[in-house]
Amino acid sequence: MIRLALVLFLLAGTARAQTTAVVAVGADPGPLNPAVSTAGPLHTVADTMFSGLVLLAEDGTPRPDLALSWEVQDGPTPVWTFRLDPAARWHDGTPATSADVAYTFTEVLFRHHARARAGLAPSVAAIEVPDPQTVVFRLSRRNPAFLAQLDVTEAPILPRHIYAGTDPLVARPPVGTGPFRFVEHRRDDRVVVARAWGAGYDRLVFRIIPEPATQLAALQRGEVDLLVRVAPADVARLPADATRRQMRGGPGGSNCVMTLAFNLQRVPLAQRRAMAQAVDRPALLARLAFGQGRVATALLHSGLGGFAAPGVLDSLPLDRATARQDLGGPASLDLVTVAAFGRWAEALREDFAAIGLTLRPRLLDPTAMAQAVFARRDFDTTLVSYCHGPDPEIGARRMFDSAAIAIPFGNAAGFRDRGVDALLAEAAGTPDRGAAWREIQARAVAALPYWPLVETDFTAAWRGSVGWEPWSGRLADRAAPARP
Amino acid sequence: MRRRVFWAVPPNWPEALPRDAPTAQRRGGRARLSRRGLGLLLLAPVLLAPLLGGGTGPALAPPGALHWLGTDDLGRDVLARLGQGAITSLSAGGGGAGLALALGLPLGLAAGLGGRWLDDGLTRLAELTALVPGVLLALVLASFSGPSLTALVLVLGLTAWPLPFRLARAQAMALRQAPHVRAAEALGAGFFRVLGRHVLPGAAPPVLACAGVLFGAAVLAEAALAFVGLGDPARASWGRQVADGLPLLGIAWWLVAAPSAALVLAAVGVGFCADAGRPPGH
Amino acid sequence: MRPTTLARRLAQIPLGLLLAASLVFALMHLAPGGPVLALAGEYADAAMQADIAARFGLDRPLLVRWWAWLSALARGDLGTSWLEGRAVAAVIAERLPVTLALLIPAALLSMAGGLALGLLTAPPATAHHGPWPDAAMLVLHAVPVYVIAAGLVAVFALGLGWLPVQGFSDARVADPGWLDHARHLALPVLTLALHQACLTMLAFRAGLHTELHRPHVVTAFARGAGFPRVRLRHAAPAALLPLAALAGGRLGGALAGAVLIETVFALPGLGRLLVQSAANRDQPVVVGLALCGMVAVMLGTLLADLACAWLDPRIRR
Repeated sequence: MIRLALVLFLLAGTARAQTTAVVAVGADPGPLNPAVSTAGPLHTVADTMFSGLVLLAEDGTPRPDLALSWEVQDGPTPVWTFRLDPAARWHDGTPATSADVAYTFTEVLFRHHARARAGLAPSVAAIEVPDPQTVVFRLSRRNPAFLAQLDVTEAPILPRHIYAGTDPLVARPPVGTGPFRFVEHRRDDRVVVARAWGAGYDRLVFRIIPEPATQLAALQRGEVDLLVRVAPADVARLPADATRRQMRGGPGGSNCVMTLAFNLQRVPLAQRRAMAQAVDRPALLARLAFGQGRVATALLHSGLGGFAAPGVLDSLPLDRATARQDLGGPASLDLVTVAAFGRWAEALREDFAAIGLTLRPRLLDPTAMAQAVFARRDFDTTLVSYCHGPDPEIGARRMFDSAAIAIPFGNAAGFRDRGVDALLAEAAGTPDRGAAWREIQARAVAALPYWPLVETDFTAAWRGSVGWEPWSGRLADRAAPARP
Repeated sequence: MRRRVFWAVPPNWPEALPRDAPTAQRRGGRARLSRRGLGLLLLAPVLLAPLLGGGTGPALAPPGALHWLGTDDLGRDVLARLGQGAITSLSAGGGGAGLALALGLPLGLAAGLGGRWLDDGLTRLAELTALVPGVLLALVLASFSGPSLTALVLVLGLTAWPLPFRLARAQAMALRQAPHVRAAEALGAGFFRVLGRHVLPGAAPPVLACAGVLFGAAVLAEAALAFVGLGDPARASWGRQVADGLPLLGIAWWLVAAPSAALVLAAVGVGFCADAGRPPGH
Repeated sequence: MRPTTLARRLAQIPLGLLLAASLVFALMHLAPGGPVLALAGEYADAAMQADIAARFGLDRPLLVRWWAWLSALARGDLGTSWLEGRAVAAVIAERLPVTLALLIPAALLSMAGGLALGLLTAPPATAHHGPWPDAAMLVLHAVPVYVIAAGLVAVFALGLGWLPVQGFSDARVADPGWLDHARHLALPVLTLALHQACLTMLAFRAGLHTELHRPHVVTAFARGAGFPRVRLRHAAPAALLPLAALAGGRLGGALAGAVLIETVFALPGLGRLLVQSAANRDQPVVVGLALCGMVAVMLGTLLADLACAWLDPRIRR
């Protein structure tokens, strides 16, 4: 599973005496250091306590966060200069400066944050700190996705005075610059954070409730105020007075596509084409996603706007007669995926049985699945929910890059194409990347390493007379540039 | 097989019981028969289930004239899925419970009757087994064997045997001092003869009484094991139907109710048949 | 039980612990994948994976690691959780109260309920009730715990509004009292007790059935004692034997059984810790839990044997 979307909501308006909001999350965040892990449950919680240099609005527009303004000297080796908020303070009172930023990138993010390491580090030649409020990034090449990779999810800033000289992987109480400061973490029970600055709720309590049905009952009884993610089947059962909001994802969020990936070393093209034409994708959307989402129209998520190539999949419509011909006789393949996708596997099994292809699902826990698919490559087909993020460089590139073949939840198909690798390099360096990405998708449909099924949206729901304003990436009051 | 009675009670001793007790004893035979009958009656629909037809319809249709037990989220007839799942579930449940009993009963009796070292060794083994997380065991086995019914039954039986083992051991320890057992020993009967002829008939009933429970647990556990890679998710089974239906319990109760009912019927049926299997006089 | 026997049994505890922990140690080693996914999230490249493996000594041979673990254990050190960086003993101690608060009341309740039902429906009362008490209990046991929980939640939490549906305490209260904990535990305890009462009742009834035909019971009848008295005074104590045996063994299984309840009611107990640590491949925690579980199981069996010896003089040895 790819990074879960983070959606939290903020109380807009009235501040009252000691207000608490209880937020239900499905899994414990683990050690609260967002700079060393890309795990979704961690970022849902920890991103309220930390800041990135910028914050991304729902449409992907960068807004000020720790950096109040920035400018770029364009050229083959661009230079980005960020001016930090002089009033920014760590929760322990120490001023937050450019030294913290430089330390975090060079010592922590580029070593331990898998996406910053893969997506950002190769394009950064040097980081300079001319004064405490200024950070200069000298890039070795153009990186059009640069700003989108600097938000709190992709690049949270850590306090240098606490981490310098230590092992950042050793867990310690989090100290950040975010709007909430850490109070307590009882594993599998709750994480409590209290307001550090700004207006809104005084305390947030993240309650860890693994069962969707229990989350729903807790919302009904008023034990929690907000469900970060409601299971598709349960949306219809939300209390009548609950506000619900269906989200595609967005910055720091998801843009997830449930994708069938083929092991190119094992499954011949004819069989891959047969499978693509045998899947009834509208039925998957209706039955498994309960209509919350869209049938995928391209290899990239439609939320990526100009990068997606809608219609690129039309050459392989649902046509079981042709599929049967392409298959050319009975066959048997396995499908290795995580247990959470068991119903998707079952639906595919039924679809493929209709053309004479026997699918043998093997459901594993996520670690065993990553081991079987990405490390040992012992699988015929697999199901991965690829989340594309705000920019194709962040989430989509890893599907096609031949360098990402052994990386967990990277290039599952083992897709290796010199032309595509060249296009990826070109796309990273040109201002108009849309054409390159559309070309990549056209080539990928011809080679067919992946067959995208359904873009799965998710729904957040909350109750109360106070209005929540949706926010993606972190709490919305950070979108307002004013710091106290 | 007639049991020899060693204690000084006449063969017609129930007649000697006070007034309110003997009715039950005299009715004993009939009650047992009706129990076995009831057990078979409960098992009958389950055994006939594989003969049912299939068919698909709209997704999540509630029970009605066309689909008696409704349809699941993929539009498949729940009754037909029950039928297809019967074989997997009955073999997993029966195999798992059977293996657990086949291991637990003799080992428990041996532990209860044998020397202290045998007892200690077997008891520690049972404790060890009860402790190792079944899921962890399944995870490891699955990474070696892949999905297979045999491996599944093995895991089910190997993790469940401590329950009958404990019951059998307690019974055997109580019975080893019983007059008929001591008499048999005094008459020179060997260990195995004492165990088989004189202790087993007395010790078996409370142990067999848990067969229904073991069966039900094994059927449900089969689903849990399928979700860590052991067992074949492509084969329908009641346990998996329950597990798949649980997230939809709020909007489609029949997805859970129907396989649960089948499972309950089968478990009760097996329990009754095992219970009726106890020898006369016990 | 003779003192020598007791001493022998106590002496076996360290050996049992070593065996159990080593077995789980080996199983964790065999389980596919390492702690990388839990620690670094998705997309960790080969260098990061190697870094994490080296950090926990996973690049060393199994025997070397086993010996290091054993030496630490000999010094009373259970190790450090790979995920949390805290001592395993502290991680377990933090969760233990929740699990005990769930298991002990549920065990007492299921025992009391199972015994009462067993006595009430014991033969010859069976003649009047027919097979239905057994059937009812088997049905109750075969119904998935999840469904029992959903039913109880629907009635007592959502319908009547008496009790909360999740958690060990109210999320809005910083420092909850015991009453708050008790309210939160009511439904989980009831669910678990309902599930367990069946086994208790069946085993007890089967025991009673056997005992009622024994000479001393028949003698009691012959002396003219009334049926209720005979059942209670002469048959019931011996019929408790299989129960005591069950209860001792249940301590170990209870941890696994508690997983479902803890998950459904979002309780931060040991069962969830075990399952998640296994999923995270957090080996020190899993092995530490196995050790603690083995202590509980072995002490439980010992207590059960002591209870059996006390209930039934025939088994003293």
